[in-house]
Amino acid sequence: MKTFVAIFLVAALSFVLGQFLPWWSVAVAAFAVSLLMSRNPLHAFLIGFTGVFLFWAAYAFLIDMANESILSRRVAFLLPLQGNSMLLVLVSGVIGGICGGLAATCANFLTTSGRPRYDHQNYYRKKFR
Amino acid sequence: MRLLPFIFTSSLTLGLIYLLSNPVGEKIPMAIGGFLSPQHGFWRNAEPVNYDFNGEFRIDGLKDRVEIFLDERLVPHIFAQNDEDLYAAQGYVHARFRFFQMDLQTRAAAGRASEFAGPVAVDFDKSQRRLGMVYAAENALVEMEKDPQSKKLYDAYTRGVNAYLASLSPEEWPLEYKLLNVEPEPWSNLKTALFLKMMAKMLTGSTDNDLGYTLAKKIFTGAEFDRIYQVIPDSLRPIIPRGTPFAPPGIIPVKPASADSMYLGGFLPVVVEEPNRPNPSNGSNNWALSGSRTQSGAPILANDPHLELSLPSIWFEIQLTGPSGTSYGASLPGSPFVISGFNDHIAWGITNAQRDVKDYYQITFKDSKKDAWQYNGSWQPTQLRIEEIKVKGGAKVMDTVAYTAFGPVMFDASFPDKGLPTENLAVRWTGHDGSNEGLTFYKLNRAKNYDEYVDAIAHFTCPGQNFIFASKSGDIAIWQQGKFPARWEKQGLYVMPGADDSYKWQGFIPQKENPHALNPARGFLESANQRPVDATYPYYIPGSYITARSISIEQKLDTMQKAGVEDMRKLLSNTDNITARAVKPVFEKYVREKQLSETARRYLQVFRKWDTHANAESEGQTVYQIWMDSLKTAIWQDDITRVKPKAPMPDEQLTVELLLRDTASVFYDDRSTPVRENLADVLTTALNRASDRLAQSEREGKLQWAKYKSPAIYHLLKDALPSFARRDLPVGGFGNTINAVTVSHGPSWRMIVHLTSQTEAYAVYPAGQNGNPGSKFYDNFVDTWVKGELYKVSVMKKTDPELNQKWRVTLNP
Repeated sequence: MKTFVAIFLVAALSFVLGQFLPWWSVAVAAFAVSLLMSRNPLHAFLIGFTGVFLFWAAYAFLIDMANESILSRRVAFLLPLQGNSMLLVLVSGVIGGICGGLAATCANFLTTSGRPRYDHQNYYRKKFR
Repeated sequence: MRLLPFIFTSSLTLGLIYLLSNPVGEKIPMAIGGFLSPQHGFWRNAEPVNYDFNGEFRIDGLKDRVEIFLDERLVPHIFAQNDEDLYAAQGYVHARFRFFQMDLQTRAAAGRASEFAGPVAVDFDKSQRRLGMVYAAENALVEMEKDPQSKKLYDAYTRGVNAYLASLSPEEWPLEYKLLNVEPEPWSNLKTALFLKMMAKMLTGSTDNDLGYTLAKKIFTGAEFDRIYQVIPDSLRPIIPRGTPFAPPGIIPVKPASADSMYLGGFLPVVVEEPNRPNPSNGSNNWALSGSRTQSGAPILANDPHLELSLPSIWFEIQLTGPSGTSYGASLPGSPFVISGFNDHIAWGITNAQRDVKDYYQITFKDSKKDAWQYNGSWQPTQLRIEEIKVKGGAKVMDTVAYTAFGPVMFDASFPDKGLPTENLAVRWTGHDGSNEGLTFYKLNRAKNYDEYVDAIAHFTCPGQNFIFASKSGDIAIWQQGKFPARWEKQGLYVMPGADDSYKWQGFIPQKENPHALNPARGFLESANQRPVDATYPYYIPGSYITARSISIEQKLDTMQKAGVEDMRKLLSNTDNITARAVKPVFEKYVREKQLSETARRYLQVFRKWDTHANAESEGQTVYQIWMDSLKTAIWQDDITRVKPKAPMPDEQLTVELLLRDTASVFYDDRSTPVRENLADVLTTALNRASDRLAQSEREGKLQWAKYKSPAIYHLLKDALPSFARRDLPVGGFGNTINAVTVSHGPSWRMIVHLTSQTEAYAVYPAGQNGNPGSKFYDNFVDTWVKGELYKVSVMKKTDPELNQKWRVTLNP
């Protein structure tokens, strides 16, 4: 549940910061949320990536629907994605997502100390208990 | 804190952000991160198809409220209380829908294309600066701002453009700025002047061929030259109907005593091939029928300027209603006013005059510093203009342009190519002279009758235009208007000696003696870039005239007795190839069938069956055109390539008349063979050669004319954005048919105005009102244009604003 909240917060904060800051504000948003809410590097990457990916892909998708893909088709030949609008939506999401994910991972490394290694065999059992 | 992983991932993150914030490469210059962000990048330019254009907007300096109604084609209908507000609003809508285009075109005009395009544009920029484009615009600006009324209107236009631009955040900038990773720049009156100079260069930049003729002079004798260049065709239908008397000349230029020996004879300066020549087929059609020839008894006027077709178009449709009435038609983003259109009383249209208004003089510099030149027996100082060309993604390039009494030195040891020898050539161009062309359109937009039209166009200097006119009171008229040098025979046909003032222009043809006609007995007037007058006109007027279309227009108008709008519509998209019609019997009679290859014989059959119409599906037209091109090469190539770079190809009409008149001309002979070829030989050789090309096209499934020609309308950034273009359009026609669609060039605006008491008008252009490639209004007129159809234009009245008003934009002070 907390993970979903974190993902939602990354997306929401990305949106708010994006109103004032350049595109890389998604990294700032993911970084900030991860500082407070990430459990480990992988978890951090996951919330950063997913939060930004969902925000960008969903936003781009909505714009594309309203535009009936007039522009995305043209751009998707330029980029080159064979004019595939949905692929362009996904690529947008992934590019933003990777930036978000990496920034969130940084934040996690900043907050956590070198903790003892997990018992890998029981890691997921503990986590979802 | 886990230091090492943190350092590693944070450098990875920052590195990625850095990478995504910078251009990827030459082909894709945008910064991907920002470009793909739905809040910042191209997604922001994806305009919802049901976008609501309603809104209120503030422009500082407005005197009153301005109301703009956008109709369902996104044509703005502007209602303002005073002229200043009217043109501020025009600036606003131009900027709102076309700002990138305006910025790009005026930067290119000023020789600053490299700021957007990078190092590839440096040579283009140099040629612009060496032609003196900014110098020309500065001279124009002085004239434009000298008249306080004009200055107010240009200021208002600039204010409107900049108010819109200032309201945009970078995320809202036009898409192209994001693609190119560059920034917009505010508008100024100088940019309006630069825009008009861009038009002047576009329309007069290749109507002279001084360098080419200088080369031709080296291979042809004087007599030969006169037989193939600047010949008045027998088939000419001049703009001014034959038999119209001309006043005796007000100025008689005197040929210098030395001309025969020093200029026409032995003077053979070394010249280069002129770089960046505008498209020589920048032509147009216009015509006007008086009431005697129309069904309704009211005049009809039509106009279709042929220019490079682009997305967005050079034109923008608009209605301007102010205290002095309404004008409606095509405007040019970059300039206030309606350029081709109509008002409550008259209609007007424009075609290019094609006159030579640019000459070159050979000058001698004292040394490589270029700060002194030899003139009238002594060393005179030049004015050096240091040109700094900023280059995107590269170091800035410096160039020095020397200005002489003639004008800027365009070509010298450092341009166009350091490796090629050339003389120093100074250029004299009427475009350099200060003028206020906008005043013509300001007045035309308000003119009520013939006299006011004549008064309006008198201000027009460069580029020379054929202004056609029709009024509700029943008059039709045409003037070829511009500032044209009064030349002695052959003055400025070649590069001239510039060591003294004896070869300079001695004056200009008095404006009142410009060719004109009013209400001719035949009941119609037309112009289609042909020579304006026959040989009885008392001045020497070289130019790059186009003959075929005007013959075609006159043939058709001659037979019309009760013409209506539908006849005009059909005429605008007429593809009757009269050149082919004239030469087809000669081709068929003289080609030696027995000497043709089997393939060639097959294409000859296609040609024989052809109805000489260049419509989209026609295969005969493809055969004809490739055969004709091959024939022109067979006749002329051996002659004109005797010098390097090659001399100009003679005009097509000259070749046509040669074919009709002479079966044994010396020009048919191929100099590279020992035998003497005649017409039958060249025709046969040409078809045999053409058949290879034809067979290849046929294999590719491109024998039909439109498929072979493959017309396309590109985005302004051309090949960089192929997916932003409309390609493979099924349109017929060619440069010699009334529907003059070549590959990416043709009728850029079509208009028909029927001057009944309630004006009935139709218009179309091959693009859309919104320059944004993310808008459904980007290319929505293209299909209508392809079909040869026009939209019925709705002139709105304030009293019936519900008519067609889809959206309403209010501009407040």
